[in-house]
Amino acid sequence: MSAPILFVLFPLAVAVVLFLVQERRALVARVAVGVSLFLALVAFLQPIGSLISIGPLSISFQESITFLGRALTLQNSDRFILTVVFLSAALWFGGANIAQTPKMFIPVGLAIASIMIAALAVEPFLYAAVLLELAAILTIPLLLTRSQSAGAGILRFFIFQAIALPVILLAGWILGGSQASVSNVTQLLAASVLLGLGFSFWLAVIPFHPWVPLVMKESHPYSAGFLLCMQSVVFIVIIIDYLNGFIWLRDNAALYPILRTIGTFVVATGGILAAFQQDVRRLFGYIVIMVNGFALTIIGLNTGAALSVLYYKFLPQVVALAIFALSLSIIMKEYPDTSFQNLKGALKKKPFTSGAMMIAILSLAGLPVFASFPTRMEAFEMLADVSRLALIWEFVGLGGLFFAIARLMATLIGEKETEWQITEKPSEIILLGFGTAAILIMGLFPQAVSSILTRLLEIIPYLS
Amino acid sequence: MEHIFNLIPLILLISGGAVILTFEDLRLDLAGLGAVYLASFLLIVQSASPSLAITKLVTGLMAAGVVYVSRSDIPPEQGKASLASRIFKVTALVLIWLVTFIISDNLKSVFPLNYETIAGALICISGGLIVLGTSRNAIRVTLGILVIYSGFDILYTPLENSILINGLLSLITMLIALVGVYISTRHESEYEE
Repeated sequence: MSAPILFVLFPLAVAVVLFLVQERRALVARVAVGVSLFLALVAFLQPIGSLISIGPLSISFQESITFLGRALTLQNSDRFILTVVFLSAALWFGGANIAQTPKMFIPVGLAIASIMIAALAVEPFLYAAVLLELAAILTIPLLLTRSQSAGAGILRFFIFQAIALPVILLAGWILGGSQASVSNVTQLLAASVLLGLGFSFWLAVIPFHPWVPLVMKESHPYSAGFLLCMQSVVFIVIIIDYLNGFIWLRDNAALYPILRTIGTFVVATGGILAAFQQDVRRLFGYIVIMVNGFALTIIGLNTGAALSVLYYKFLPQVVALAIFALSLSIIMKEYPDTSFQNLKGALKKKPFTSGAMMIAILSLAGLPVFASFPTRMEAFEMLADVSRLALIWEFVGLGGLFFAIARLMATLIGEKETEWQITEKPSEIILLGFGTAAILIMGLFPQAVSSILTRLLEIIPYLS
Repeated sequence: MEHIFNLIPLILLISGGAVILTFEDLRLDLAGLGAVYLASFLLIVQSASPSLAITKLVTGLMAAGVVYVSRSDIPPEQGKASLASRIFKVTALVLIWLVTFIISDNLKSVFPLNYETIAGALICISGGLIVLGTSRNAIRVTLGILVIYSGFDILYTPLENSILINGLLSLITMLIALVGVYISTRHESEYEE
């Protein structure tokens, strides 16, 4: 047996079966959560390339399979991202029925997760873009359910994801050729511009960002949140793969200040735009844009320690985004219009949901005590050593976000006259409770969490 | 121009792009798309294997067929653009194509292909981008993306001969057509600018 069969083909096959029985929502959710947790556990515990011994039986757990001349290869250094992706999938699938997602959410979500893993595994890695485009196309039926009409957001998402593929493939081809001769400046310039454009389309770097808040506004928040969450993890890892795949690109000193500047620009502009949002779903979109901006800034720091921080922040980020999306979905059952104006006093009607939502947003903003704080603090310390101006602009962005958060909190608290009541179901309270507890534990005991993850991060070559 | 007979695919690409941009009759637009795919085939077949070129042609025509079969219910005369709008679009197209013809020669140092292939690809890509920039309805956006992909195929197929990648790209072309049709059935202002 090989790792790609277990982590790509097996969940893909399960996704197909689950798609056929999607009407049985409870069963589908249990199977998907079980499979995702199992795969996360295998990735966490089992070294790839070794023998699996079950009693007298020994199975060789190989790294790669070959298909039509191309290889899918998963190595030990991929185990961290495998664990994060499948753990995230389990988390999102676990809340799917409470969030009342479209029926196809879980099967399509599992297929998307496995295609994204295939994108990380494909060799040469230049072809990852093709698989990610497939995953993006698969998402559209998920974002556009039978009951809704397509708006500008989904159309723009479709356009940007579609255009990113040719741009990145062409850049990849030029880069592949340039490995042999790095003296052709025209080729290198063309490749850099194309690569930058392609990644900007993928990560919704400002000004290519409008689809993110629009998709959040037009689609089911849980489905759109899942897409944005998975993309913000996998795309960043793919970008790091690209940087490490080309020596001249990795060693190009001019690249990192550019990445840092773009990341800082995205965080600052995203935060300022977030300050003026009137809708929580749009705010979610801008927070994701800022999260991507932070990731680009960290890559721009160009040290192993910085990349370790980036990897550590994936898990807190995924948990917070999932809790944010789940609480939004629960709130929308009573408040279909999620504009600030309409959510007045929601805290007193849905205290657990509103509380969990605020904790998730505060965690994503990097406030102390919450999950993202330790990594955010470390990243800021590193950034301060490199560029204080960039740090100030990052704070400007965060200031904008805090302004939006303060406005949202004031709205949720509402009038004094409103009476407190609990309208959430026990299952909703339990799930949100687990999520917020996870956010607080990761924030209060960062060492405990990092010690668990360190053994997987230590085997990633470019982090050492 | 290295081969004078390559004027035929270039003229086909130009007329196909102009038809898609200026007319809002789905049948005419799909005829334009067909012309673009035929021209792409004529350019690709010169520098890639005939089987790959035929695969691209068949996939493209199937994508156009999917769009036609699914959305042939759209009335041909609906959403007629004004003359001023058409003149503006054609002027923009002509200006961009002039730039395309000028810069294609420089790109020969980036892509090891002949002048006409690079010019043809850029004509397609720029035409598709203008269609995307001037359209708000899903079918026209889909046609724009398909034209861009056709231009990309002209450039990329001779460079990349992997069966898997070309197969996946053909699959993506088909999926783009299908998803475009799916979105268009839910779109608020279908075929109205």
